Amino acid sequence: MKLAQEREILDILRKELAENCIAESRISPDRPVVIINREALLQALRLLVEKFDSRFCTITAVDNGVDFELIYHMSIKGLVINVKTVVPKEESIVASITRIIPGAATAEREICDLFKINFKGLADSRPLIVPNEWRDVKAPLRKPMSGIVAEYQKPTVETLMQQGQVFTMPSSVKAHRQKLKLPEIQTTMARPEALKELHEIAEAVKFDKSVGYDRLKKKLRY
Amino acid sequence: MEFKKEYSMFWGCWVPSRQPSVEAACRSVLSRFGIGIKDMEGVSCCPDPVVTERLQRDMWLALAARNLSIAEKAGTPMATICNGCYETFFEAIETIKTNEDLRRKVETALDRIATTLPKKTELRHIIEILGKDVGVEEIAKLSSKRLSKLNVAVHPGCHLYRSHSREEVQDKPKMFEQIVAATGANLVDYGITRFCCGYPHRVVEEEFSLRMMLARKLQRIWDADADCVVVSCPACNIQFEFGQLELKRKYDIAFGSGIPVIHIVELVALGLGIKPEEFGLSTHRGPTQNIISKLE
Repeated sequence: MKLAQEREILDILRKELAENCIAESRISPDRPVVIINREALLQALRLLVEKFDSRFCTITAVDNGVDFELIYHMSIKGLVINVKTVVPKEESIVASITRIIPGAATAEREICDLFKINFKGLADSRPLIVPNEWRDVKAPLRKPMSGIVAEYQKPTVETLMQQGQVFTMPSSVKAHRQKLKLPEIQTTMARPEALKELHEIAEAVKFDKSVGYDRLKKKLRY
Repeated sequence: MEFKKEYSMFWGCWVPSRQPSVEAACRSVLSRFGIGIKDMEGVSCCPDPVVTERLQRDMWLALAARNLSIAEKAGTPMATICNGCYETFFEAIETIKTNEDLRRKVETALDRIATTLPKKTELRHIIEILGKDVGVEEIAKLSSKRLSKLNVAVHPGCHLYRSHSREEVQDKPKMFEQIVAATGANLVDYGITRFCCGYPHRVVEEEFSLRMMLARKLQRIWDADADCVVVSCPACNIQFEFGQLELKRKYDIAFGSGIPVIHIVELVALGLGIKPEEFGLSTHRGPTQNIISKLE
């Protein structure tokens, strides 16, 4: 019974959220996790509440260094489904779910206090568990922006992602190469289509994500 | 043109963008011995066996596999003149053979760029090409006597000791010494040949790398009256050259006007009578005059 119910819920989430349903995993055999785009958070929770009469348990916030993970624990007749979304630390903002679930206000206020994540649409955003004077000054569980790349490794990683090689070519070396009649280099530095392949590979193995590389800004996010 | 042997040359990052004299010397030397070079098109960093491999192994392996595939498609074995690149490709070939989980991940990543896993790419370090394909006898035969006054300290570098079995660990470093001897230069024994130059430590703890590693090694080389250091790795080359400048600037440690450092292909080029200006010996950041003044 539980299995059929779980299948039905997951099928509907996949169908309704379409590409906003990014991935699925499991914490334990009977605890599915659906990872969704931040923009689809309200749609996902509304579906669970309105179609399956689900009950909101709580929200877990995790600071991963460059991003926050918010995990919404939803209970449906004994089955608990986790809806997980990622909030980039640079933005630190997500929609409040209090329009659908007014009782989530306490959890959202607590997370706002401890992690300084803003819940857009939260009517009462006064501090809940930290002193008033801490607001905008101190968030006890918020870590500094940081990732797995150590300071000394940053130039290597950034140059690798920017041009596919770990050193740029100074003009003095270009001049020496010309004088020595060395051929033009044929690497990813000079071949945009080859660099694109490197980026495809990085995306396939989730390298940019794990190191926190911003492809548009062409640098690490920290 | 008919070649004795032909290689897809993986130049790496250091040599083309920092040490053009090494590339020029390598092209001249291999051409003299009838070894063909194909420049590999579209290759990336190997990637480096220190930072990228430690950060995310499947990314490191997927990029290495892509580079190996380019050589495989060209239908020639891959050659490298850098110990770091050699380490990466050696390890990548073994990992693809033995680690099923990683192999699958890499296969999936390569699928996205319509590339298949390399299956039989052969890998050669320049030391093996000079020592085996060319042969030390041939180098000795073609070398003039112009290096007979040059005292050389060899620094094989840690990754040159990479081998398939314990018995083969010393093969490439020994071959390195035989090549140096074949050029007519004099090998000096300074006792700590295998001691690391300190390059990998530099990014983490500069003072340790320079004072505890590099300066100790240079002191022994200086005491042994070597005129220069010969390396088979561009990273070691950088550490010896820039490291000496930093030792002088930061810690007031100097060895005369500086000990010159050259790559093995540059030494072979000099032995063959190729003029220093033909391959740009003066483009080194360190002094090279000690070498030039000793040429016969």
